[in-house]
Amino acid sequence: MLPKLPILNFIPVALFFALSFFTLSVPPAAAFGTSASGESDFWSRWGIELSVLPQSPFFSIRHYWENIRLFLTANNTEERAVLLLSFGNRRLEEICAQISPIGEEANNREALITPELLATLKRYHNQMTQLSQLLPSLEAGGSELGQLWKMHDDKKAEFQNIVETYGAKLGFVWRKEILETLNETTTVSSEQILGSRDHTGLELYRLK
Amino acid sequence: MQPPVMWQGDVAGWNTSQPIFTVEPNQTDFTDLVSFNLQAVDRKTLHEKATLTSFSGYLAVYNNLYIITNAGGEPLTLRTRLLKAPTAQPFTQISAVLAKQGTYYGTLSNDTQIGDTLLEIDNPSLFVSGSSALIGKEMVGVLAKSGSVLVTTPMREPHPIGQRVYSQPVCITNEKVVSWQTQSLELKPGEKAYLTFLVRGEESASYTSQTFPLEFAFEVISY
Repeated sequence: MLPKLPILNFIPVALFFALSFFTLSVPPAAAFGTSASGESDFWSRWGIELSVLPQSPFFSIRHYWENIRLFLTANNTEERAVLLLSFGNRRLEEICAQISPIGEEANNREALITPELLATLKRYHNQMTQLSQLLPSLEAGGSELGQLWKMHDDKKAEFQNIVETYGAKLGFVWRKEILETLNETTTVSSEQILGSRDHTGLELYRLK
Repeated sequence: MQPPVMWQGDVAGWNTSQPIFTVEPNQTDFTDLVSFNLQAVDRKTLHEKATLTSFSGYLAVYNNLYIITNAGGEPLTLRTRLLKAPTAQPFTQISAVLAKQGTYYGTLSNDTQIGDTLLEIDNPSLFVSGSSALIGKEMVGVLAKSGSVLVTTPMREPHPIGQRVYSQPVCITNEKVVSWQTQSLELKPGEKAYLTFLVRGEESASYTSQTFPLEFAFEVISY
């Protein structure tokens, strides 16, 4: 027979899970550009701006949570592509949030190379590679994907801008690492994403 | 703005008041980006002097900018034709695709290389042999069609899987008119066709968007 536990014993546990879920489900605030993600818009409307940066203890949990969500959509190509692209957008925000202060303040180039930034770049690269593999099998009608791609295009352009701005401070190794990551992910072309939209009104896509 | 009133040529004993086709500009989606100026020339022809917007460094797709309806009681065949070659413009390419409702392009099922003459696409019904096709930024001749494979003139550029292919659009590349007219479409009474524009904006640091004029015609070529 199970011992009777007072209900109060569960409150701290429930609070912990609720707080964790809340923190994990909130994307980092848009660090640059005008096109914050839809989720960011939602929270910023209420004046809430929360970031989960690689230095945060929640960061790895968040990645774990992302993996679970991707796992759950293993059989739904459309949903998985939307998830991958929205995660890719988050990665870009995270990378930029790390690079900007480094570019402004750092005097020592050695200090710039952090494992967190490398890991984020790698994760972004992996997620975009997965996305490019899904694209050929996508059906028409996923306008959400098109919207996300537009955001992604804008963020990427801003990202490149930041890299150019802080280019000298970032140093050759970082510039090379970042630009290679960006160039490799351009295998996902705008027109491929365009092909999965529902085609109403004006569509704008950055030309490469 | 209402669709223009068609020419109602009165011929003794005939009721010609019914227009054989109507062209409806899509003002709902493009109010601030496109201005329309449709003029009826005769029962079978409408001229348009439109002003479109080009966005620097962007591909702008004006989906279903015009909706054309067969308003008569007989099937008709129509096309869109460019009236005037443009002078210096803020775009590197502009194309106008005429198609019936639904997907207006095919997509490549395989990568193609320079010199390839076989295009495997997912929507071959849109294409006819003896016409042309726009793929990426180049126009190729469609020599024959077999199942989902188009036999074309050799490619001058490589194209990735998933690239869109359009069936004979009006096409202007770098101020040079590559194709003056769209493919012809046969419409049954009440059936609709849609004209979509694609504008590749020239990269410029001095402006983000710029308007430009374009003159073209909607023509019924058989009725």
